[in-house]
Amino acid sequence: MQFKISSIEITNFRQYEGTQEVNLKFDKTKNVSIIIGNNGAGKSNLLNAITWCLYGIEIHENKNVEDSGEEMPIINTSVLKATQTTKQKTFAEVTIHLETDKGPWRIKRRIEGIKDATGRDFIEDSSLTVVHPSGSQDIVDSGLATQMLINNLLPVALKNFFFMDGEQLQKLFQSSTPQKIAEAIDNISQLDLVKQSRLHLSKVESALRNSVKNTNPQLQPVLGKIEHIQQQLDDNSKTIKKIGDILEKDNQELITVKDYLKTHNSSELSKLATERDDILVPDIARIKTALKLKESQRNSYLVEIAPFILLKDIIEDSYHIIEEKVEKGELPPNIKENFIKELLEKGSCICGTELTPAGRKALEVYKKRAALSELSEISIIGKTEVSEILSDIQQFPEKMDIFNADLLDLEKRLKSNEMRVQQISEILKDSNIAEIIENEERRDDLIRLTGSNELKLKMLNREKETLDSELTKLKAEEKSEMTKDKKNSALKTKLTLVQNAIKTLENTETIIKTNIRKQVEEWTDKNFKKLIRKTDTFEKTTIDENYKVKVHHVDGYNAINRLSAGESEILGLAFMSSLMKISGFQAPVIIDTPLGKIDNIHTDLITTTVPEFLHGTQLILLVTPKEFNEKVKEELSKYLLRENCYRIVDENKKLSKIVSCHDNQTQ
Amino acid sequence: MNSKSELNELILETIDAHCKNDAAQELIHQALQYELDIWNRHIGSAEVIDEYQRMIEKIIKENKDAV
Repeated sequence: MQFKISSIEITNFRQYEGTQEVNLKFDKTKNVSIIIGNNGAGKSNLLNAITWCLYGIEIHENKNVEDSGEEMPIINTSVLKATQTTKQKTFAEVTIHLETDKGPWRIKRRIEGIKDATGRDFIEDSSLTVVHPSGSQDIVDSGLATQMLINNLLPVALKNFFFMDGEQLQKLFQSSTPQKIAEAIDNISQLDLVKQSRLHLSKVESALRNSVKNTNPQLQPVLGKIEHIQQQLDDNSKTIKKIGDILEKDNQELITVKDYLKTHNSSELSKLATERDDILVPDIARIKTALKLKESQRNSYLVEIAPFILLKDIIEDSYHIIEEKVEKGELPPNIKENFIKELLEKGSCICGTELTPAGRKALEVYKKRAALSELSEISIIGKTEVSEILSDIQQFPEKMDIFNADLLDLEKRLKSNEMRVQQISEILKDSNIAEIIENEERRDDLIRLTGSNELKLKMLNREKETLDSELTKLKAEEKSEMTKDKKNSALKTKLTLVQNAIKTLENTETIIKTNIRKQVEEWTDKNFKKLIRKTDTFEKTTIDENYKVKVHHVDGYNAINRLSAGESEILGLAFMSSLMKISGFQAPVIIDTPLGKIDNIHTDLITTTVPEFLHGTQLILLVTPKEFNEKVKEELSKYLLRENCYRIVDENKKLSKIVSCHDNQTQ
Repeated sequence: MNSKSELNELILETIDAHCKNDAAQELIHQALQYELDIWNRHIGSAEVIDEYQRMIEKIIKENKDAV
């Protein structure tokens, strides 16, 4: 936005007491305004008032020192002193009226002060108010964002290229390092948007890089697991198929075998065969053995019992006799036969008494009696045994009947079994029982095999279910990872895009800076050549890639440190002018004491050339009366409107007034 | 900032001349326009980054082949 200053109102600012007003008119060809003031009258503080109003910054703070050595307060000293009480506020205020291509603006900065309890001045922070057009109405802005409006007119970073000091221009290349030159070029390069874009894109890049890192896909391990499970499932399926085939084959065979067995009534025949071979035949063998045993037992019994049966009557008689003798007590006591026999053989007693014949005879009797006494004992025992014998004899018929009955029973069973065997053999004689049995065995085998295989299949199917379930889970995981992978891929695409953009912006910055540097170099050279007196002395002015400014003397050396004060100021002016031009901003140019140390020839050049190459730009020159001599006045007359000349009247250095040159002259 | 200045034109020309990727070029143009829109306005960093994310998303959708 193009703007010009239409008026400046200064109230109680530094040495300006009360309200001082400067009104400036515009004219396309007469673009110069002059404000004349002695050194210390307040020219610099007029410039300060302008930059303070616009940015809250004073360019020449170091000049605000009073004769007493004390710093000159921002609120006029007289006004501050006039403040009597702590309740009474005082203030300083600068208002600038602008004409912009979008309508008039009013910019006001105000600062208030009050005396504290100890009588010291307390200055508050300044406040900014901007009234600017928006559509058909004016908007009043105040507060933090208001400064942004001023920056839109002319960024604070560029203020030094528009509001400058002749002395500073002169020292520009003595005090400026290449970094400062680079910074100045950087400021006018207007790469702020590019830099902001790059800054924000870098933040996005950082966020994207983190996101890419966080979505690093775990797909490969999942795919590996899926492959492993699928391999297991394949093996499982193969085994299931193999066992299923066997099972089917066995089941088919089982059906065939069962059909065969059914067709051949195998069940009945097999039962008969089993009955014959497994029951009857062994039973027959057992019966035969039992018969033999039973016959043998009967015969043994007969042999044992036969004598008793034959002697039954005698035994019975003997029994009765013994029984009678026992009852009568006729049976002798038991005499030891060996004792009698020994006495008879020895012929003497143990006591030595010789055995007499009568004794011998008696002993012979006793010997017989001894034998009888044995009989007696036997008889007593025999009485019981005989009784048993007699009982046995009596049981004989009964026992024989039992024997015979048993034998008969065995013979019957034998005969029955043999008949059943014969009968079964008759039934089975036309059947291939071996084949039936073989089929039956095969059927049993098949039932066992199919049972086993069905169990295996059951287990394999259960395993398959587990693997299927695991595979489902892994597939879900795979899907999730695939989503992540897609997200990761999308993020990478974004990251690449952002990185491309950042790279392009970086390259653009470098290219633009180089380009601007070359433009500044070109315009500085051009302006310097226009303004400098010694046109044949200096070949060209350059700014190299390291932002080092060189003034190339025709003799080949860099003359920048050999320039006179005037030449240095002209170089600074040439450089600043080029920066102004290239910046693209169309703002007033205010130069404080531009001609102070410039010789007459260069003064002529500046006063005639600068307004010309700043054609269309409002140029306000703050000059001393010495600078604004008759010659300069004459040379500037074609660029200066009569109404745009003001004079600072300094009654003393603490109190200045601004009056129109015309009024002053009139007075 | 004077958007119509020769410098801005030069910046855009330089970007177009040195950026072979259409999507990146589009992103830069939109980013610069957005920065111009919010210039000197107090916009929170999170809001700005969100806007950039939306910008990138949109460009990728519209320039699938160019990305």
